[in-house]
Amino acid sequence: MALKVPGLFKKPIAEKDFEKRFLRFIELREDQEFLRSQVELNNGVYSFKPPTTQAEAKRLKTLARAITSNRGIVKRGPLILGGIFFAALAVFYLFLLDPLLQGALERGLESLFGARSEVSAFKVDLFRFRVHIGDITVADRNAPMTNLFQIHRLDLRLNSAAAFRGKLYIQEARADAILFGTPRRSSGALPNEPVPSKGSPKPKNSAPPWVNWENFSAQGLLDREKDTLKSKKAYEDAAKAYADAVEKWEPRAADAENRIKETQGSASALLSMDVKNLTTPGAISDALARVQTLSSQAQGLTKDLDTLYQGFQGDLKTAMDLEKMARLSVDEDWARLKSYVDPKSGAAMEALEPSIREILSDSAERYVAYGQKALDLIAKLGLKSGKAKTKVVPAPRGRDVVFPSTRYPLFTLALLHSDFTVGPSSSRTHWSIELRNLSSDSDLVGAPTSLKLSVADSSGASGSPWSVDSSAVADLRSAAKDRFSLHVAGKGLPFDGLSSFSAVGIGGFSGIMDGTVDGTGGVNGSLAAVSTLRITQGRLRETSGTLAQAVAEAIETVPSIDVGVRYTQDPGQDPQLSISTNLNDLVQRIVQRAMDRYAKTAQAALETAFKKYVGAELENQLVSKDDTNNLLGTLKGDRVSSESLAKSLDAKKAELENRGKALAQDAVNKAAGSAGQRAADAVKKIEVPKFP
Amino acid sequence: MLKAIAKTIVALNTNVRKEQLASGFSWGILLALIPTGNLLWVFIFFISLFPKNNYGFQLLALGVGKLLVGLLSAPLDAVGYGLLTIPALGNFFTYLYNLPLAPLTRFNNSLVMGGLVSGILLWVPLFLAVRALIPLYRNRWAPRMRESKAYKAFIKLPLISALAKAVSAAASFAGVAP
Repeated sequence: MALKVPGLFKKPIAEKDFEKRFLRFIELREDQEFLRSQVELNNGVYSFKPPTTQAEAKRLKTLARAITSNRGIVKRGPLILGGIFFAALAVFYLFLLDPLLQGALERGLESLFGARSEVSAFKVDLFRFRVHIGDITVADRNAPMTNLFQIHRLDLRLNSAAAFRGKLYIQEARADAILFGTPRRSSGALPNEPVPSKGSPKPKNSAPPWVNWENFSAQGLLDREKDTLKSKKAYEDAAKAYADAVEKWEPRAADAENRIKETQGSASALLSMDVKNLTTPGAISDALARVQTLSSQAQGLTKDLDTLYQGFQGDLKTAMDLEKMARLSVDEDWARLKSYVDPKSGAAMEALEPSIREILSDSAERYVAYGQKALDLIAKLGLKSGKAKTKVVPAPRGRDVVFPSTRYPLFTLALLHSDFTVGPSSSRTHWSIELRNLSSDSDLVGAPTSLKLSVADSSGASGSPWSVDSSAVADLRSAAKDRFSLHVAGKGLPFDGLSSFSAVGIGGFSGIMDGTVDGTGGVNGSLAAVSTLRITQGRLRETSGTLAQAVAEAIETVPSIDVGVRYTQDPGQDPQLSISTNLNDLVQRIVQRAMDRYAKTAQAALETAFKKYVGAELENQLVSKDDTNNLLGTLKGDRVSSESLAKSLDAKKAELENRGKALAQDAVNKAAGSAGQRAADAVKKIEVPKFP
Repeated sequence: MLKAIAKTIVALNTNVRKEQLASGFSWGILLALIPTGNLLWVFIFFISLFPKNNYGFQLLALGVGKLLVGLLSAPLDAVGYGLLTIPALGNFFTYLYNLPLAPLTRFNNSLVMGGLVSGILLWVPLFLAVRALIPLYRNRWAPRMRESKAYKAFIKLPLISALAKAVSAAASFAGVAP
């Protein structure tokens, strides 16, 4: 079989081209010589001879391969691989990146808000560093059939310099619409995320019984207020003090009485004894010793009874003081009960205040909770800030020259703004939202997070045009003076509410409200808010009862209702809420007129009921007081008996001493009458008892 | 490394163009002079894959260069630091530093800057020098060397023998008798 020339060498080639296209790419001289030997020149054209041996054929083949590989300056392999790599990147970018990021965003939102989140039409443009999102819907974790918020057509412009440093810096975000609290078709609860329970509803204040004087019941008011009266507890305290005193001192008094009786029994024989019957010094001495012992016992008993008496009197005084206070509290309670039927006392508004406080507190708590959520969210971003990252990347050796540069927080939303109109054409509401400088590190941004929100309805569908303008600033910078501040101003707002006042005879209230709310939060956690509201065209609906009718009448006579609300909360203390309104005086005046008709009768009925209550229920509690009086009498009697016994014994002692002395004197006289030393010795032998 | 040495020996003794060998050497030295672990090195390495240079020679130069570059730390640092602190270039470097990807190149490190500048400046002289030396090796030194007794003794050493086998295998794959 004939050996073939490699394909590269098959075609004849001009002499000068042979040098340029073949020999130039052969580096070794012997190979160049070999190649020359394999060609023959015909008419200025080289053509290769067929190789004669296998070795020649192989060598030609090798040289052909070397010539091919030595041509050109760029390698095809890496170019093709690079092309494939970039094609794969392009495919990933065009078809996979958006769904992947969309899914990641949905998961991130679900983790952040704890409810189902949907993102649609996510499109990222890596060349212009822009992101477009068709819709973002995040359900409300606490109300799964409602959306927490919805954003339509969101366009984001990112900062490329920050992105290459691993930071998310949104220079501008623009949304066509941002809606809150829209209904959902399917539940927004996550499968493994339980819906938080709302807890048991707070007990509502029931209306006081006197709000309708036409049906006034003194006993009803007394029964209702009985548990809150001071006198009830004061009487209980006094009764307990009396009972405690009796319980404490009675056994000790009985013990003392027994001891007196015993001593009296022992002393009776001695006291009734005639000392003249004692003729010997021994008998006198013996009797004197017994009297002495009994006298000491009687004196000790008297001292004990003194102590008992004083101690008991001390406890008795305490009990009596408590009794006195209980009687004073009866007067206070009466004054308080009377104020309920006395419009001059201003109790009308005081009674309403808990209900107003409840309504305002609920609203305030809800908005404070929203604010707290927002602050928590910002704080959570702050926790993830790159500032906390302390990982030190080992630098190569050498010296780093640091040039001035911009540092970026881990996350920054420089501007989010949206202007949109919602609602049917008959009642369109225009919204304007502008959020600035939301960042994980406000210190690096150098400005606080601020939100401006305006809502306006110029259609007048609800009766009149209205608007709300609000601005809020949350400052998480380390040198911030206040943590947040808030200003809300509303104008022409249609107000319709107070349905929870039905218990006091008010079915509802409507009017037009203007007002402002200003609040600040300190870095130490303190809160302060002041609100001034003016309600015009106020009307009460479905009024019933004296008070409601009086309020309705008062409202109709004033051009506006002015309400001032002040809310403060210092760290570690209960919040303080105070409300003032120009209705106080108005309601009082009108209620005064009604009082002329009903209040006197009501007061008399109430007084009767209260006196009956004090006599029957409170005074009866002091039964222990009689026991204390009895005990006091017993103690007094015992003390007298004890003293009397001691005195009798002292008298008997003196009698015995005198008897002894008389016997001694007789003996001396007898000795003087006899004679001599014997008599004197006899006298000396007489033993004269010694007296203490 | 052994493979790189084998490939280099094959390349030196076959018809691989001297320009390819010279450019491979120059790229290897440039990469050896720049510290690794930054985007600049990755970028230069990526770029060096596309021209027709000899990878074996490039890897050999890179490996040997990395072993020796520690000795040049002081002058490279001085060159880099001197350049980075030229006041006239301050604005340019600040601008560069604030560009999205530039900080990842760590160009502001004195050794990186020194290595880059030195490597670039040395690239052409090294290319020309190696290109000039290869014909000398191929046409003069290699035939003499192959005939010398020392070479013949050296080639019989176990390690060198293994290397020679690898070279033979590579050469036969390339279709060239070394």
